Amino acid sequence: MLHKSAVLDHDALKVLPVYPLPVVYDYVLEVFYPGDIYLLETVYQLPPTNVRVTRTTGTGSSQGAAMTSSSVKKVDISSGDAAAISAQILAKQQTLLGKLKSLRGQLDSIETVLRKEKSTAPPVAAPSDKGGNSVAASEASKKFTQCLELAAGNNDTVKSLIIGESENVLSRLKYLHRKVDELEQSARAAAKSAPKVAKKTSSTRAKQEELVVSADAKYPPLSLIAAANFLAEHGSVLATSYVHSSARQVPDKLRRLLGEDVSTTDSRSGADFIVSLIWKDVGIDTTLMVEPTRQNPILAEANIARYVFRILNANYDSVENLVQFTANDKWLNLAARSLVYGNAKERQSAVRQLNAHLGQQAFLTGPDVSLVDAVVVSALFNAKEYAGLGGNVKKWAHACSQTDLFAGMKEFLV
Amino acid sequence: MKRLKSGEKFSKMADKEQVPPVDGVDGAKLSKGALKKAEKAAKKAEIIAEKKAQVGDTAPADPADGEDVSQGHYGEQPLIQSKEKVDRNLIKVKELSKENGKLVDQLVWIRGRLFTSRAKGKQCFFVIRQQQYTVQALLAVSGSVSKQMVKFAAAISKESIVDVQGYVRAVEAKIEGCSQQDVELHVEQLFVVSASEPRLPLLLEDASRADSGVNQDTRLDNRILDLRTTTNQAIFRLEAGVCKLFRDSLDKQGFVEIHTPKIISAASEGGANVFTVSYFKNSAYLAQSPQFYKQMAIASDFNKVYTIGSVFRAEDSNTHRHLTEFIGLDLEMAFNYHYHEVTDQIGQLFVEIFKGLRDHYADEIATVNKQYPAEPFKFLEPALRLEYREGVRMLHEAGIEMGDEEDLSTPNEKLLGKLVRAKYDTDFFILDKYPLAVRPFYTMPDPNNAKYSNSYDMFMRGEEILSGAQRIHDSALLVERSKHHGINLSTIQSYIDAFKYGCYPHGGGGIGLERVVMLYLGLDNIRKTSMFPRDPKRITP
Repeated sequence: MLHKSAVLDHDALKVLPVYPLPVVYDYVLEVFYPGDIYLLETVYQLPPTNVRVTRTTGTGSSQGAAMTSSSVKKVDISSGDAAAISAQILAKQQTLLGKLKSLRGQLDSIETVLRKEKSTAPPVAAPSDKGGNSVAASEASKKFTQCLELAAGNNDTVKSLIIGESENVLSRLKYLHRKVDELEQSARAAAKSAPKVAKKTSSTRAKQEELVVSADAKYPPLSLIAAANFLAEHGSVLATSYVHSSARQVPDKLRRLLGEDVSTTDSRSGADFIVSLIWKDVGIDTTLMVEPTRQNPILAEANIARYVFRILNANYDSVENLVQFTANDKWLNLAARSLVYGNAKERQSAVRQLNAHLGQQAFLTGPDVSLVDAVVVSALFNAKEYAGLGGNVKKWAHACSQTDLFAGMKEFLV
Repeated sequence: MKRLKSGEKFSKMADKEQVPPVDGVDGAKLSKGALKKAEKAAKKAEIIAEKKAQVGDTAPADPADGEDVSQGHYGEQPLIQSKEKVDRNLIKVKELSKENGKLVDQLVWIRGRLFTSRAKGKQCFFVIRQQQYTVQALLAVSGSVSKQMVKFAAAISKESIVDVQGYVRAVEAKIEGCSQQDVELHVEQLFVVSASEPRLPLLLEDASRADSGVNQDTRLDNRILDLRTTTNQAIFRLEAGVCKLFRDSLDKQGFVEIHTPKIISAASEGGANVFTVSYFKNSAYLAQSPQFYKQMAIASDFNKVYTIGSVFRAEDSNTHRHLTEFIGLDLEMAFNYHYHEVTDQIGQLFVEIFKGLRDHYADEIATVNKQYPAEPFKFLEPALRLEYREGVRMLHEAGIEMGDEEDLSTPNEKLLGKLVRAKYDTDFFILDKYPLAVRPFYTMPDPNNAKYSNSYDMFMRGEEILSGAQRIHDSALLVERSKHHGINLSTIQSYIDAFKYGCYPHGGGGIGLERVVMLYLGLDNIRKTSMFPRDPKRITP
């Protein structure tokens, strides 16, 4: 009597070795997915595998034979709601990748346990519990050994069969491992390519954001370049500069401040973010206008940066993000109040504050450069302090100019 | 000094004095006494008529005025019939200024119109006007100026053309009512070159005032007088400037000016709004637009063309912005791969026109703003280009309900203009990618989206000034589209044939000169910018 090999009693993973092998499939792997992961298959082309993946519903009836997949929800991408669907897809990808990671962890533990047990007789397919804890696994395997011994007595044939069986299982697990890896990779690749597909017809974001900034040629808003680069990480950006009819003497260099170098697309309807800079004689008040029927104009580059943070992260002001938000605020306030709008004494003290802070930290709000650094650099430039910097501030400014976020700003910082 | 004959010129006046008929009303012969009376009355009438006719004459001389020391220095000149060449330098009023050191305290001759005059006993102030410029002149009784001369000056009717000789004197207090505010002319000699009728149907002072009660119809009926105001002088010089800038800008880009026929055989595009003219034994139509001929010029390898000519639209719309005949500035160009090359070219053209007006016609704009105040015209460089869908979305957000493929109604256009102005601070913008259903049959559909077309409109102060598109340059597609619009192919056969022999992809657009000037200056009626406007109710002057 061949004891049917272990049905690994795991609510996420069941390996059912099928003897004899059906014609097409090597394994039937029953995997638990949350119900709405169905979207995944209709969007991406999975590489053809020999793994027939069946899905169970949320409640997961995992008994018995492999179930045929329930009808896969075909989502009509051409319906106007591509943006919402894409957002959903992105979210689901994240969960899927997480699950795949944990899956692999479990497989790893199974494998290690199997190998361990293989070397020491009697070998056993080690069940792993949720955490993939090898200690617990070995305990369970001990139990199994005991069961086996009871069943098989000291029958060597049985033992050898069991050994062979477990080797089989091991090799299958290896195969599975490989397949999961491939799945993970293809999912990642698909994640990278999917947004591009959606962008061709319309933007992935629900609403296109357009920022219209009016600035004076005497106080160029250099942080806008960094803002455009920052936005480009979250969607496609169209950036243009205009000169207003009332503005006189805008140097040719500034006319190109925001242009093709910063844009990632050249179509208004295909862009997620449109940044339009209008050179006008507004003096020191750099103004942002978004929706004139509902909003007032927003003054100062620091506030434009705050606006950008908020449109990219709806939770920017929330309690979870409090630390980041307050850190940003400190330096944005410094930029606006002390540097741009402040008098000479305030500017000096601001520079001293920066110097002190940057002695301890590479960039203003953490180890990475951020839009806040760009705003402060621009404020220093407009306050005519940029040229005469020294010490930590100088080093920091130099480090900033080497980053990707500051790409394109260098020629204007003279 | 010649007396003017009380002839045809003043026949109106003579008619007013009713000469009683020699024969009685009932046909009976009058008695001798009555005849004599009639004679006396007739003589009296003649004398009165003569007196009235004598504009320039000082007779009957009042002996109480004393001897006339200025005899020969004033009066009415004989009609200039090119009898002799007079070597006299007439200075332009524009140049009379304190700054112009050469002229101060000099004796100069000027010729202009008598704008206003004010006599006070021994003095007479009058203003001489020359196109947009006015200067004050003073005639005071002195050793060389007699009382008779002052009387004569006061009696000259307004709008007469006069030759004045006088000393240019600088004044300390600015003369507010004149364009030349820092000088005054102290008159030595004064002659009338061409007299005007004393009773003017239109007072120019009224016509030049901001809140004048002068009816537009009165103005248009007496256009000759109305056009003399400084404001109108400025408006039409600006209009000439727009034409000049249009030509200059396009010539620089290698465009060729062409002239298209206005008498055409087939009513294009439906034929609802065309004028019919009798053409020998048949009838012909007046061209509604030079569209077809521009395209034929492209098919004839002229590549980039523009044409400036009259456009005739038989629309019975009596609005503030429609005329039946106006000047169309049309352009058409072949492009390489994308019709945005055309759109960018037209946008650049407009920006250059606006910049030219802003920089070189600032005086004219200021003059117009004195009578018709308006906000200065704002624009962006490069021209702002939005998509139709964006415009519709902006309207939706402002609370307007309209379909995505509906055409913009006039109030919606105005609102969109206001929204764009609030957001981008510009009065001029381009709206790209209109829905296909609302465009003419020769508009190229958008290959990426069947519901839209490669067409665009341009707006100034919320009103449409240009409609343009990429045209279909393929006969087969043209036939298909015209069938779709239900157009009888036989009427447009020659048009379709134009593309049979290969044609470059091309696009263009046309603007109305009067409308552009009206919107640039912020005027309220297009008749103000058309010299002799034509509308359903007016075909004269």
